[in-house]
Amino acid sequence: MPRPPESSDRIFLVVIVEFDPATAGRALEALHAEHVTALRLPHLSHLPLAYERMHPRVLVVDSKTPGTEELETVRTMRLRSAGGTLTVVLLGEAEPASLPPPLCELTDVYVRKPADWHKVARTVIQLANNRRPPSDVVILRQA
Amino acid sequence: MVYTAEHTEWVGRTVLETSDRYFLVGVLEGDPDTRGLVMAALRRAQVVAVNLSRVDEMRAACEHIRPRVIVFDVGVPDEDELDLMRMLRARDVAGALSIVLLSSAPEVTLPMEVCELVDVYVKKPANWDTLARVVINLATGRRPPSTGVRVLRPA
Repeated sequence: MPRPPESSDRIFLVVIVEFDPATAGRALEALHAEHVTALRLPHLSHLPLAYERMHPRVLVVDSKTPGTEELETVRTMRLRSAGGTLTVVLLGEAEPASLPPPLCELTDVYVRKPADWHKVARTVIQLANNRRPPSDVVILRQA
Repeated sequence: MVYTAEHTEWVGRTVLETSDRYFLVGVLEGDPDTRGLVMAALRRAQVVAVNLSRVDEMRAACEHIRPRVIVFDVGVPDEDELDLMRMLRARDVAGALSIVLLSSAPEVTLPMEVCELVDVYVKKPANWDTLARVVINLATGRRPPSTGVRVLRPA
């Protein structure tokens, strides 16, 4: 897919952890429409290997009820990217206020489902370029 | 690590798991039509690739991304392209990077330095699915296909 002009801000990799193939398809389609390169992982357990090999700039984790497993994974990724840059976007159905506080400290942005994947894609581009995301997403971790 | 049947498949005589696709490819191709064909073949093979049309773009991109394989479709590489290959090789201290040259130039016309920098040469007109196989095999440490390609730089 040819990139639009002035697209150097789209040269980064996004990894999406999404179990449901249909949802993953919509997410990848939205990212590709914005000329962003992305890979889907079917399970959180694949993330350490994929991170080590691909060094994504943005990690999108879609989980119905983000909890302990998400917390441990995101913490591990943060440790591995120490000194580097990793932006973490979390999607879930829970109220932002009900998320475990340690998870909020490790997550940059929370998007409440049902997600508009095109908005998620634009959010990802903003965050990867150190710009403010759209005003209606929940910023959990101040830059 | 948890794998299920949906995450494995046969490609030729090789079993690939989902994790075998966890690498990034850079494609440097100036012609939009050919770039589209290369990207389509890589997408069919479920390979994630970034495509760029100019050497300076690829040089800048490699500051932000870490491709495991870079495909140069540049004919006989000029000094800028050679310089980029040298820079990539110098930076790749772990020896993880593979460079593929896609070219219509006969192999004998390639300068000696190209043979030292490039892992695999694929002669055009190329079978795009063979190119995708070459990329996957290089990234996963398997031998490249035996037909239609030439290994210039043994592992």
